[in-house]
Amino acid sequence: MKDTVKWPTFPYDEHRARITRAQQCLDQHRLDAMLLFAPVNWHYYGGFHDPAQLHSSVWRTALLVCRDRDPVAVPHLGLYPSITTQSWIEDVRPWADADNPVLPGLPRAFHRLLLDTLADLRLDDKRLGVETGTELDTYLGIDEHRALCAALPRAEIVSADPAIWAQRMIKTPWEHAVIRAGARRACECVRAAFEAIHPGANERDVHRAYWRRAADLDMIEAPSWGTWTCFTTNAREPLGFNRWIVGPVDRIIQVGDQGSSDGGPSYKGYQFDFQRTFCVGPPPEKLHTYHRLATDAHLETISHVRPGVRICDLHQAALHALARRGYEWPPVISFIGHQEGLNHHEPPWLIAGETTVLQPGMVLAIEIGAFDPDGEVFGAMPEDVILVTDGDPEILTAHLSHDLWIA
Amino acid sequence: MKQKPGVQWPNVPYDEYAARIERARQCLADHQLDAMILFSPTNWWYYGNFTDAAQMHNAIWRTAMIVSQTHDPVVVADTNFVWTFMHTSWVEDVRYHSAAPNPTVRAFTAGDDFYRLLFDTVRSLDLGRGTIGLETGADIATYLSVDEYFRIRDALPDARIVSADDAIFAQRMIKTPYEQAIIREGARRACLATRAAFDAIRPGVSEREVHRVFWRTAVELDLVESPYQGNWLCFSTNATETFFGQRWITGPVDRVIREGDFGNTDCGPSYKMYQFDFQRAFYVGRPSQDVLDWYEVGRQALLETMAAVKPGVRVADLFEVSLRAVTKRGAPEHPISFIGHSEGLANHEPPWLVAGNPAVIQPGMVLALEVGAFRDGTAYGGAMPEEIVLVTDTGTENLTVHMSNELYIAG
Repeated sequence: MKDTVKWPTFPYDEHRARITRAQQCLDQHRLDAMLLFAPVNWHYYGGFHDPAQLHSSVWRTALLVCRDRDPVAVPHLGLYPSITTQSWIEDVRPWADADNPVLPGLPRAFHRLLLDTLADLRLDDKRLGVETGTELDTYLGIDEHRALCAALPRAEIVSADPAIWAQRMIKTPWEHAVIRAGARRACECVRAAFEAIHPGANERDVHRAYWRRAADLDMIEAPSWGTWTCFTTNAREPLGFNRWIVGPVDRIIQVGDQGSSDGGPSYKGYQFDFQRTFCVGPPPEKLHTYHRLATDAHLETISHVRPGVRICDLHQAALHALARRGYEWPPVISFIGHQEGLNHHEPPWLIAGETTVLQPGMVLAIEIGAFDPDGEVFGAMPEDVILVTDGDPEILTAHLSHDLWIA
Repeated sequence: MKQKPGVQWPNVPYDEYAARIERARQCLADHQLDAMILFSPTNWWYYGNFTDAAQMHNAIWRTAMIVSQTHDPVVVADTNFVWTFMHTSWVEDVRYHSAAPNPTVRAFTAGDDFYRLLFDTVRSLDLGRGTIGLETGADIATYLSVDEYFRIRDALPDARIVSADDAIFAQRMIKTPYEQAIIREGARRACLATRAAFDAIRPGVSEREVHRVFWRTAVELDLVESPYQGNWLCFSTNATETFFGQRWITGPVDRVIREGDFGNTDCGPSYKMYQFDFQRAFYVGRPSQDVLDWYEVGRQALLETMAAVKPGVRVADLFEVSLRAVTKRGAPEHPISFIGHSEGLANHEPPWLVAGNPAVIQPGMVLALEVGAFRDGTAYGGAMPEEIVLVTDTGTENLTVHMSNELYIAG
């Protein structure tokens, strides 16, 4: 255990367990190593990040997670202090883009150092995974990928994504604790925002109330991603009632408005995507009806969440839960949820054809909607963050009621 | 192009949108591109004034924008973007896709598969045999994945697929007057937030508390929106406690600030999607004359370099000016390879201010200038103040002048 880690991102045992599991996943996916360029994966496998979000050509960094040996980081010197004090990775081979008095004499070219490191680890003729899919926000650019392939003619370069998600979709108990605490805080933020909704308030005021609470609860850090969407809408406006998935605008809230909150802030790197619905002033009975219907169907679907259930069967159960309540209008989106963790949407998605089996440790978002086909009222799509356990599922966003919020 | 009705809350004025598209066509022509297909939300925002508020970097809600020399912009979007386009974006030709079976959704979708619709759209615009640019470089945060890149290449075998990056940054590196106004205001607010955070620094305070003060102020100043990416760095450090003295480029930790600490802020929040990367330094307690002298070396070298920024100056020559500015004051050469960079919708954009770069400084550029003076083997390394400057017709306007670049004495 290295002795410079003053502020570990996670405990040493967590680090060891993740690397051991990663090595199993590499073995199962017939990979000798993976070269990781996504800061989210650096965080997960290495306990370090890029707090400056330097998605640029200058400070290139990669983390090598290997099947047969401990991981190796090849960071720019700029990340070296955080790796030294926060990450348990011991084999760190920094480079610098100039001769730096802090650590003079370092290699000066990232790609040369990366290739030399692969050769040193005897990985340059092996099967290597890199992040290639649409679900991973990686710094690996197309040009860089092509250059790597050209520079490693004896290696077989394939996608690391299946190996990554096989591991990341099952959260560890340490992650559960962070996500549980974060989900509770996210509920508090939404409540603070909803309490700010009243006729005459600007939609941006509601957002300010939300982020003010988020700042107090340490949900804005560096780096962080803000994706909280909270939109007010009204069928009487031109193109009215169905505003959805939009950022804040200068709109004055009025009696009769309806709306929804979705997405959320991050806590210790983890993201929280869940939905709640509100109405300004007395809600029309029709809105109550759709809200109740959606909530009941949503909770019934959650009750089916058990280890061993196939996702496609859960999807079918959701449609059935709506249909047996007399709601036959086909869904407006193709999924009833997804996984979440360091990303607010992670695979496997809860879609009709997904045969993955639910397993303890998964963290799901489930979102079942019932909207008004006539467009007179908004309807509802309650969404919760749910931990799959050996027994009943744990609703992590239970700290904010599913009831229609009447502002 | 004509102004579409119904845009109640435009993200940019119509004239700005039209001017950007016109300029984009010139850049495409200059770089021998028939079109570019954009997968980066930052570029969607720049060229189409829409973004992905939920930051859905995933396989489900794929969206791409086609900017071409001969057609008005076309977006192939997931149906969930429909309200964004109706209310906030001037792009008229939006072709929606969705696999959802809902009849209302299907009534306005052009297809159920994103890629099929995208490729059909490319061919419908007579681009199937054209030269098409994609975002391929390390400087653009894009949703375009490696798998997707090869899929596009395979599906358009008669097209020539190249990088769009040069055409993109040829345009984005010169900020429009509209952008300059936003950046000017955002930089002022970023200074206020940093100043509030510095005012909270004193012995006994946790580093995290300083961050809370920054973000609370940022919220009041509308520097936190959806979507946003937060990258404000503020680290306290002390040569006696880390093995090589200086923490740098790190997020907040549970560290209690004490007398004799020093530290730095770097990067920052965003305002109307623009980012603000600038640096200030602080010292907790009473700094020695040595500390003050070394800080001043860095500051004076920065000011001397800033004074040399003018239209027509080559970046390579500016770099030489900065090198002389530090060495003549007795400091070693630069500890990093650059003395700055452009900034805008990303906190670091090309051109990078590096040795040998022949790029010429032009009016409308927004540059971060960061010239450091560091010394070997001392408890306090030196300083790297950083300013955001707008290049004007005659020189520069310092946009981060609202917070002094002198060493902040805290506590």
